[in-house]
Amino acid sequence: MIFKIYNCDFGIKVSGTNYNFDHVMEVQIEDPEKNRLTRGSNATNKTGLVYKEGLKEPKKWSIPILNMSAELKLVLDAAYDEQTRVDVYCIDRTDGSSKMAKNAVLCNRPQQLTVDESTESMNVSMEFETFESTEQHKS
Amino acid sequence: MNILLDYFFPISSINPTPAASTAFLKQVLAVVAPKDAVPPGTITLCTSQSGVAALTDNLDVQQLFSAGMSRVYVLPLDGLDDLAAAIEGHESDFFTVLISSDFADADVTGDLDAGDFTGVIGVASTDDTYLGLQAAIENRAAFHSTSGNKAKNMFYAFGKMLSNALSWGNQQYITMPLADDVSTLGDCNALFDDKVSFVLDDSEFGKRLGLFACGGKAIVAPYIKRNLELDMQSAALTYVSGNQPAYTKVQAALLEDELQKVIALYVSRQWIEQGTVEVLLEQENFIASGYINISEPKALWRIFGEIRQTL
Repeated sequence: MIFKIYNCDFGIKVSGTNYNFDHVMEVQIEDPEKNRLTRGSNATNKTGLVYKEGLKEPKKWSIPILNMSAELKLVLDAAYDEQTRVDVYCIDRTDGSSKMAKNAVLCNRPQQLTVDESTESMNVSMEFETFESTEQHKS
Repeated sequence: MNILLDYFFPISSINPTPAASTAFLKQVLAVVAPKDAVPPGTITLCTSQSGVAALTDNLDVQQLFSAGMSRVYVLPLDGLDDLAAAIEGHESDFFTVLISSDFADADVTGDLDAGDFTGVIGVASTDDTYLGLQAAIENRAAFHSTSGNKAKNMFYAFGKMLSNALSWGNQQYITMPLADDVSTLGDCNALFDDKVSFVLDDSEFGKRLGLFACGGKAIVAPYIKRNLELDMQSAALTYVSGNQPAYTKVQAALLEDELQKVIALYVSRQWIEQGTVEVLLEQENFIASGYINISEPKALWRIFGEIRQTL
C-alpha cells in the first residue's frame, strides 16, 4: 500500500468535529526517531550496541494548503491561540488506509504569507507537532 | 404565531449527542425481606441508613453505607421468583444486585430469576459447596460468610468498590469489618480454588479481603466491560450525530479512530491491557461492521514464589 495524494482525503479533527482540507499541496512528515548502532572504537564486536535516539523530539507534519476558508481560519486560529489538541488525518479513499497525527498542536498561526499574483501566494502552510504519528494499512 | 423570522431565515442546527451516563454502574440494588406493613416489589432509593431501616429489618445493607456509599436502591421482596418483574425497566438504574441474608441458599438455586438483567449478582452463604457452584456462574459473585455475620462482608466489599467514583479497583486485601471464620491456609486455598470470595482472618494483619471475584474473573471485569461498551457506543453516536458522515471508507476510518481513542483511554488507566477496533463497510448502506477486541480485565491477587539458595 502506497499513499497517493490524489486518492486521499485530508483534514483536521477538532473537539470531535472534522474539517476537511479541499486543496492540499503535499504532506511532509519528519520523524526524528531512529534506531542506531554503535560500538567501541576497538571495533572487534560485529554485532554492536543498539540504541534509540530522537525520542524526546516530536514528529513534524507540514501541510501547505490552498484557499483557506473563513470557517477553517477561525477554527485554526482558535486552535493555535488556545493550543488545542487536534488530530490531523490523511485517509485513502480507496481502502481506508490512514496516516494520522494524534494529539497534535498547531505550531504556527495559519496565514497567507505572500500576497502577489503568483499561484504560490495562495499557499497557507500549516505545521503540526505530535508524538503519536500513526500509519495504518488496510490492503 | 411568529412565522416571519423562520420564513425569512430558516436555520437548521446539528447538535452532537452528549456522552452517555455510566453512573448506574456504581449503583447497587439490595434485595431484602420486607418489614411488616411494607408492600413488597417496589424499588426505593434510600439515602440514609434510617431510610433502609424503615423498609426492612435486614442489617446487611447498612454495610454499604459504612463502606462509603451515599445512596442505595432497596427492594423488599417476599421471594426471589418476583425479582425479574420487580427490576424490569430499572436496567439503567443499577448494575449490581445483592441478595441479602434474608434469603436462603435454596431460594437462590430454586427461585432466583433476574430476567433480562445482565449485571452482577452477589450471593453469600455458609455452604462452600453451594458457593463453588454459584461462583462458576457468569457475573455471579459468591461470598463466603458465617451464620452470625450473614452477608455483611459481601455488602461491605461491594460498597467499597462501588463508592470509588473515579476508578475500578479490585480491593485486594482491604480491611474488612468482620471475620468470617477463615483463619487457616487450607480454608483460604480451598475458597481461592473455587473462586469464592472471602475474608481471611490474620493474627497480625486482621480481617482482610482474601479474594473478590465474579464468575471466576476479576470482580471489576464485568463493570469495566460494560463501561467500555457504553463509552464506545456513546463516542460513536456523538461522532455520527455531530459529523453526519457519509457511507465512505474515509468516514469509517475516522469513526474507527474515535473508538480507538476510547480504548486508548482504558489502556492508559490500566483497566485493560490492550484492544483494537476495526470499522468496515461490509454492508451496502446504513450499517458498518465494528470488530472490537479487548483483553479481559484481570486482577493480581497472589504470588507463588520460589527461593533457591546457593552454597
